[in-house]
Amino acid sequence: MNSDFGTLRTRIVRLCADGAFVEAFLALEDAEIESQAAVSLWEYLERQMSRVGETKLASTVRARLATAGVYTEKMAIADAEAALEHEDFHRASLILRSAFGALDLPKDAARAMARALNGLANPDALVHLTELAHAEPDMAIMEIDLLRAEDALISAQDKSAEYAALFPTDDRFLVRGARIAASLNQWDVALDQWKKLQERGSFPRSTTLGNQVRLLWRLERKDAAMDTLSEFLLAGPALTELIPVTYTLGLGDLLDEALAKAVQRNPVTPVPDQDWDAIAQYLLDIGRLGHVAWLSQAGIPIGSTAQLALQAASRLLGNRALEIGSLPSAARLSSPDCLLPFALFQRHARPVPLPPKSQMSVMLVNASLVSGGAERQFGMMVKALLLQGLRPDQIDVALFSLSEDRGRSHFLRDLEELGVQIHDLENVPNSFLRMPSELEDRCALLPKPLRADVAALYKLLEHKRPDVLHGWQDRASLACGFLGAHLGIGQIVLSARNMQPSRRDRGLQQDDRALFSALCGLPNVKLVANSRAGARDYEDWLDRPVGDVGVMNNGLEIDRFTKIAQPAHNQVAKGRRVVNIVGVFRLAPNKRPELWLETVAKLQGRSQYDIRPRIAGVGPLSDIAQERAAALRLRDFHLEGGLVDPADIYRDADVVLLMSRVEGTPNVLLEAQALGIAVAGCDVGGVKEAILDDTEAAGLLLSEDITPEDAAAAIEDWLPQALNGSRAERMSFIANRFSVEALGALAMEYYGQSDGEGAQ
Amino acid sequence: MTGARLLIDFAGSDPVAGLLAAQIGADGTLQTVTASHMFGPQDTVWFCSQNGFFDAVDRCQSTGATVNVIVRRAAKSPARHHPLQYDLLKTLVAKVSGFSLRLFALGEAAATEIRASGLECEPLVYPQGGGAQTFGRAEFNAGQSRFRLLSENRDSVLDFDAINWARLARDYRLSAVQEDPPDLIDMAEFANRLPAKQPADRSDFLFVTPNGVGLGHLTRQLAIAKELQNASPDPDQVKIAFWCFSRAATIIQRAGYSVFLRHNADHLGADTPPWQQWETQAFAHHLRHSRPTAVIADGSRIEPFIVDAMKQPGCHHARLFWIRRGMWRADADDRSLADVRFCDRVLIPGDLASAADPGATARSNPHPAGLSSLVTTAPVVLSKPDDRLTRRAARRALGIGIGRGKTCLVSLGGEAFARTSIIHDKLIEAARKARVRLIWAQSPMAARPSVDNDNEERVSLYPVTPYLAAFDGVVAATGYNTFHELMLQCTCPVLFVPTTNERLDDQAARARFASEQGWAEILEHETGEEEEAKLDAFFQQLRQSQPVSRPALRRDGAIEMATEILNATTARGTS
Amino acid sequence: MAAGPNDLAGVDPDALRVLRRAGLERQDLAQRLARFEFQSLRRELSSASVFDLQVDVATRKADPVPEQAEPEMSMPAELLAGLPQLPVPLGRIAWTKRPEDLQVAGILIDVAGDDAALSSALLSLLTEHHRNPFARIVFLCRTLDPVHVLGRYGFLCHQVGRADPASIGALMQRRYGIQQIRSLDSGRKLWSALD
Repeated sequence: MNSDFGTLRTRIVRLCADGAFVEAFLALEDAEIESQAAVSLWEYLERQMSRVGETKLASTVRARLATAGVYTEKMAIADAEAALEHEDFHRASLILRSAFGALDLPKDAARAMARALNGLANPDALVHLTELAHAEPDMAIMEIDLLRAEDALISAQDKSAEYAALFPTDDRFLVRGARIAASLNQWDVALDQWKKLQERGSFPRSTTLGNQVRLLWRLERKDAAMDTLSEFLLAGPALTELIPVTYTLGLGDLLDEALAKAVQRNPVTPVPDQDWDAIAQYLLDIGRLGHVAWLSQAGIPIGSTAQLALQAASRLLGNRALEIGSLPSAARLSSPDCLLPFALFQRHARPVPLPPKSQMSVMLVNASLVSGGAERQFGMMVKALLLQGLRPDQIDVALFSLSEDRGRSHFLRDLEELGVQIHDLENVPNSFLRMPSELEDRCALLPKPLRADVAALYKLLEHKRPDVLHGWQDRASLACGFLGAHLGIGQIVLSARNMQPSRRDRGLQQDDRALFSALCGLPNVKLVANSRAGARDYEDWLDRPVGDVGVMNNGLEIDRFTKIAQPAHNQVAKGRRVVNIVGVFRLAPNKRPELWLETVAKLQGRSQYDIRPRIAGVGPLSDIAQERAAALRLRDFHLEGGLVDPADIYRDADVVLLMSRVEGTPNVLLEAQALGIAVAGCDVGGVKEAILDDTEAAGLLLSEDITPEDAAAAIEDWLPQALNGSRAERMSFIANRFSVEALGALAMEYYGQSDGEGAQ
Repeated sequence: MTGARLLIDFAGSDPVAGLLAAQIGADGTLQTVTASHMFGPQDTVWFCSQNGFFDAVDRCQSTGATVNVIVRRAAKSPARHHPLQYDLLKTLVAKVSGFSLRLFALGEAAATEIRASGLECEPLVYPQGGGAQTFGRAEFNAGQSRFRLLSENRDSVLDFDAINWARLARDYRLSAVQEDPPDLIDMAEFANRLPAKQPADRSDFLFVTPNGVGLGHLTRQLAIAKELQNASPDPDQVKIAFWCFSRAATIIQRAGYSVFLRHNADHLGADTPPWQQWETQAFAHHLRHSRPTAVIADGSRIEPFIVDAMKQPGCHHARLFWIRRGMWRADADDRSLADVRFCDRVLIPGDLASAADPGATARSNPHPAGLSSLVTTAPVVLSKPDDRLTRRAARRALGIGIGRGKTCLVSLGGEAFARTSIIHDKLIEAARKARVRLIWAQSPMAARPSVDNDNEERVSLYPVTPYLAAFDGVVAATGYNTFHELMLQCTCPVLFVPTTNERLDDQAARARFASEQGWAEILEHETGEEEEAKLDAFFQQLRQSQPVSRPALRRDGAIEMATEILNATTARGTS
Repeated sequence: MAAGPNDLAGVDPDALRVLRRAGLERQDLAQRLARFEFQSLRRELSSASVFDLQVDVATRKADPVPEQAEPEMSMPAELLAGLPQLPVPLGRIAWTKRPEDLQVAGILIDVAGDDAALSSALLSLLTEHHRNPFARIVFLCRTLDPVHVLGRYGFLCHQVGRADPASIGALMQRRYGIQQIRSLDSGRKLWSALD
């Protein structure tokens, strides 16, 4: 059936004008006209369809044109952009590469290529982005985000600053700068950026205030946080901003209220769908499964990720469990509690029996290797195992992150020198290994960061199947415990942190008690703490009998310290004995640097000695510490960051003073006494156990909530005894109780390699 | 409180909202705050918690409104984060401007704690409060968020969010213990000191009529409405209204009652949630304004819009009655039996066939009774023996002649469920052979049929029972009303043809029971052969004109139901 | 230029054809059903006694035309503004491709006391509606008399009592998005959302 071309053309034009694109397409498809002859009509149709956004049909038409040998660069870009819209980045990059090659693309094409490569997390995107970024803010943003995705945070921070100056009215660069600073734990810098944004006035006020609130809360500046929070509320924040702030501050009732109101009012003042999506995901991340189910029942569009999680919950818990009639009842369904208790040994008849020492394999897991006492002890643990006769090939070490920019690889070289296998879980090679579907469902319901940690750890664990799995600190312990229980790992040891989470981190809202308790109930799981006080504290928190939680004291390489130990200096200045009071701690809120400075200032004011204070450490409160010292007119004060060698850290120290609010067994007090130095500390956690007592060389135990005045008075009274006490006695105390050998022996007991019950 | 509007802001299921409305004696000007509300200088806005205030504080700024905030104590134990809320409130109090702010506490203990944190507040208790006489105790079970209701003849449970607490406080004293979270203790104190409920100075009844396919629900409700009127010394002063989803609303108006014609989601082609929102708000608004003394719902469940509306502040005045027929099919979903917990009374219209009840309604209700008590009355029928016409008068009124020929009324139920098309021809043939005239009863709600068959005579009237004497026999479906009106008020032969595709009602069981008692014959869907033989036998019986012995109507279920309703709605509510 | 990357794009024309045919068949069936329903309605409205109900239940005298019959009429604007709009059915006697594109119109049934005139007016209106659906209709009835007939054919009826068109319009605009109210009797526009 031949169609008159003119009649056909008229018909096509009319159909396009009516919006009947499917009709037009079929009319042209069915008309028996050769492709070449119909090219102009197909082109016309493609233009009309693209104009109104009929992208799928338009791309079909382009395929017809390509068949006819007509495929312009413009069409290639249009096809690439259609693919990008569907997040088919690979297809987009292929189209562009075949049309334009890989380099020197025209601007439009380069832009699309940058998006495609960025979507594939391909660093080659940077090549295109860097060229475009100086002229195009969107490309600059993409460049920064790609750097962040590559974990090149310092570079990303530099770029943010550079482009913030280049595009001074574009707020996004300040925002990026603030977020990157927070990732690098530069909280004061981040705070500054948000304040700048607030002053500009062009950025939503509630967003800048909300971010400030959270940072102030982390810095434990409660009054400032409350003040900013009130401004935040007066700014009428969006729900997506309000919920994370309320959660961070522990204002769960306000979170529920805001959520209930938003749902009530949604039919008339709807929250955008993508916001509900984000809120649902956030609620899943904080373990509020019942809240998500309630939203879904209320007809809220929670998004596909949350829907999949609810489907997983339905499979595991049954549909009834998800019938949440009201928000108060939603609170009763939370994760991971809803997944507990563990079935005994899960699907295994019993855990795998342990092989003899020469054949056993051990995997130790920690969050990272930042510069901290727990991380130092992590390294010590590995050394201790080697000293017990394990070979390096028997030991695997897994870290959730070794990001250099974030300082998470501080002890990496030390570990590498030990020859053990180190696994960076952020960069595991791809494998096709999938979790069994039931475990996958369980993981989908876990809150963050546990969900991500379990996912990251699974492949390695399934591949290696160690005989002993040892989680270090709460975060790794929970992931190890959860996975280990499911995979039937023979022996699981969980090294808890210094004290129960609810006492430690006031900002922390996730309640892990049920999960810890469930793990402790398994016969192949052992929870240990690094002090008796810590062990009792965990027993109290988990309602376990006394002795249930084991004790594994910190270990110290005694020789290393014995070698560098110096006799006391006897420096005198203007007739007064110089006393060097040293603090060795991270400049973070729980170390209470302000209390330390005020105490030492008081001491300077009243002491018979020439008190010379020094702090060796870095942290988010460094600047504040300097300011405070100046305000107190502290004489001869030095703040030294970045010292690594104990000889430098403890040089000429007469007293090491530690005034933390939370501690396990503080390494610094052990190290100081290993060098013969007198120590003083507040009675928290395992500090008491770490300090030599009952002799002339005894340390000084201060009460937990002591005032600077009282502390200064107590130190002053104690100083004569401290300065004259036997350095050898202190060193011997440490050598007997806190050696690496002792640590290793205890560990092997907990690994099931001896008959002993371990220390209690 | 003065002000053009009285607004209460609350989230979902906060019990304080309902209690507050009862406390401040909110009248019809009460509104619940929505996103569309812009506060103004004439408004008094109550926030039921400091969190509600936090969420809305930006909307209060510079409005000139009077803002009252009830500061709440910790609702969960341990309450370690709660002092933060006081700190935040203090900070905000110092910053807000452009409106008047007052802080209240639910009770004395709460006021003391809140003042200790540095906030000025006053207790919100009625000075002479607590005068209400209660008949039971409602103990908190905070862990499970439910009450244990205890009285002389009750030990039941009720979830916190099941009802408006002001309803509960009418009859129960809320009982908290020291270990309960402070907020619960405060709410108990507040509830127990609400002003005593004044006796209703008038009778005002609101029936809720579902969209039944037949007229069963409506018929029962009309019977009860009539008796509620009759029980009053001045029947015209009794206010009776119907919240009616049925197309038979006209019948109600003809009966002399007010009708609110409503539509369900199906009528509109709407999704249930938006429809339910409208219906809930409309119902709540009506309850707040009109303050009926009783809401009387007839159906297989208490519709969620009723439950939700009665939970709203200012909607606590009415008692809720559920007229719930028995004889549910054995395979029927019985989850709606849980709705008893929302009701003050569940009134079961007696069923002559109750001994044969196969379903959940015959067994003990597995769900908690909550507030409710169950009362079974005698069968409820609309037409009474006194309403009956003589044979001659009935025939004349129906226009079917007063000759000696035999006639049989055919009444096979609601149009959606009739098996007319299946049985129609067989009936006609059997009647023709027996020389019996068939008169087809058609619901007045049904459309006229498409083909007028000369042989088919029809009557379309309601109710038809007063005219039964005109007929020598009846062929009928076995719905509740038809069954009882026939069994209690007529002596001619009856052939029951139970409808088997009714969702809930087990007509077959009812019909079988009647057959076993010798009260009626039954024609169930069997082989064609048997059907014809049965029909022949029935018409033979009809021709013989032998009266059939059946139970007598000794008690009137409608009067009993009306009495129950009246007793429950007087000032002294029973538990 | 190579067509490789594009050959998997877009839609399948055969599938499109199948869908189009199914759509047309569905449309044909719906139109036939509508015709059937209309014939039934026409038959009913041709009888003067269509609205008669042989009902004998009167227990007392009541006002068949109440002052106000819609509780929502006294609801404050802010409460109404907080409620979502509800759909209005087309009625079973009509078919159109996209009923949701038709505006919603209110027809005030103000032909009181004369059933013949009422049924004639309704027949005229609904014949037009059947032939060429012009709106989704909400019948605004002073009394309940026409309700049982109109309701049978899927039409939406509200009882508005003696309320004035402006009050009715404000409520119905909120509830259904009604744009205008016309009189059944005269066809005159009584209220418009644009006024």
